[in-house]
Amino acid sequence: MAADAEFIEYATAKSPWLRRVAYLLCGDWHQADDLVQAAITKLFVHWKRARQAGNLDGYARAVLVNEFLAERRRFWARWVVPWTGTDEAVAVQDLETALDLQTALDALPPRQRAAVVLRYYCDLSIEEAARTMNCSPGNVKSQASRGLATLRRNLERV
Amino acid sequence: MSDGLTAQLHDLVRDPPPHTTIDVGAAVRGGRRRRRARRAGGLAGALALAGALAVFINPADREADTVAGPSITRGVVLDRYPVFGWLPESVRRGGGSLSIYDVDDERAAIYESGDQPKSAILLDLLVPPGSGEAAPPVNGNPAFWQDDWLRWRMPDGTWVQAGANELEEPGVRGVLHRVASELTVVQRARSYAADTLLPEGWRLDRIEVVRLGAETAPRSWEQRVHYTFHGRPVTVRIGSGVSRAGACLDAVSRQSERVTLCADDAATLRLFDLYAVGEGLHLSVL
Repeated sequence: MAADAEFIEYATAKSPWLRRVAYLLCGDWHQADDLVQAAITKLFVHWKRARQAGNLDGYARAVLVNEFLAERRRFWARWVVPWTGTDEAVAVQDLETALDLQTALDALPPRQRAAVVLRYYCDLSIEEAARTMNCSPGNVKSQASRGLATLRRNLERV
Repeated sequence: MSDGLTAQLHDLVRDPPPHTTIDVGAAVRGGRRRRRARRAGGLAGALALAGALAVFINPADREADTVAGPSITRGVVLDRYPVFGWLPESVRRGGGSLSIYDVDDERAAIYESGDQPKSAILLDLLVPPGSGEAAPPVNGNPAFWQDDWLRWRMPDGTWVQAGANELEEPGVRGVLHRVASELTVVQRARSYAADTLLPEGWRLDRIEVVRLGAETAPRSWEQRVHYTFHGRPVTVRIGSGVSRAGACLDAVSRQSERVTLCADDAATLRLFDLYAVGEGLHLSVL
């Protein structure tokens, strides 16, 4: 079961990183844990193919993003998740700025949010983000542009 | 904003809460169960679900939820299409192309140049009424600026907004206003619904509508249905005027509308069946 051991080592090492990406996508640490759990389960099912992928981290991130988008598609009414301020240990240098950004992010539709996170947190190119989101580069460009404009408007309001 | 945004996003997740419910061992156990279920039930599941709808092409203006079949998704019904009049030269460069997206809660269109940099005009086809900074009326109808997006009321009372990416022409607002003044949005019958229930290994990723013909004289529309089958992208094209590249299958609805289904090759085409059911046409994944 060398492959299983390899998966366990990989998933254990990468879970903190996937958890941070998941949190930026969904805005809630508990949901982020659920997303990562679902994503790494799928990753295990397809581990043989994933290992052969040229970019294993990119493969894992794509599984996570697609899990997020699929989940939002199933429960579309849940996409606005107000930040309640009850998450533990959110220690940032500028808490006020973080809360504003959190609120503004929560108001983005799922695909705009995914495009913004992939482009500006994961630092992916338009083409890499398009492969991750299973869509065309034009669509990513459109979603990211709309997402930035909406973020800017929402940050002005909060 | 984007430089600062990157730093703020990193700040936001710099110190996650220490307690986590992620369980790698549970992922392994759950993954093993799924592998066993896939091996045992793959063939039976595929046969049982062969009749499930993937795409329903309905030439009549008929509500998608009247289609018989389980788990019809609602968010993929397209009924509004933009037809451009004037467009700036930079988006026409290299043979500009129009794509329309109808994914989740987005109903959007993008017209972009064929060459780099990809200059583009972006459209949101159904938006809330505009407010705020007044813009010059568009064909006598009220219009507003929201940052550098122009939002205006169409003659049918709906609101549309337009933005731009990497235009080479000076004066984005002037360009958008001229694009808006010559844009029309045509209504078309709802054309299909999609079912999420697919055979094992299949996933419906997105449905895209691409206009064929000159941008100011649309000849027909082609629907591209993008799936993933065991990790491999599979796309089929459906329409009444699709180019017959690859392998194609013709079907006729009960209203005698001729529809063609095309795939890249004959082997891929054999994975699908297109047939008349009720007043529409069904595309099944076999």
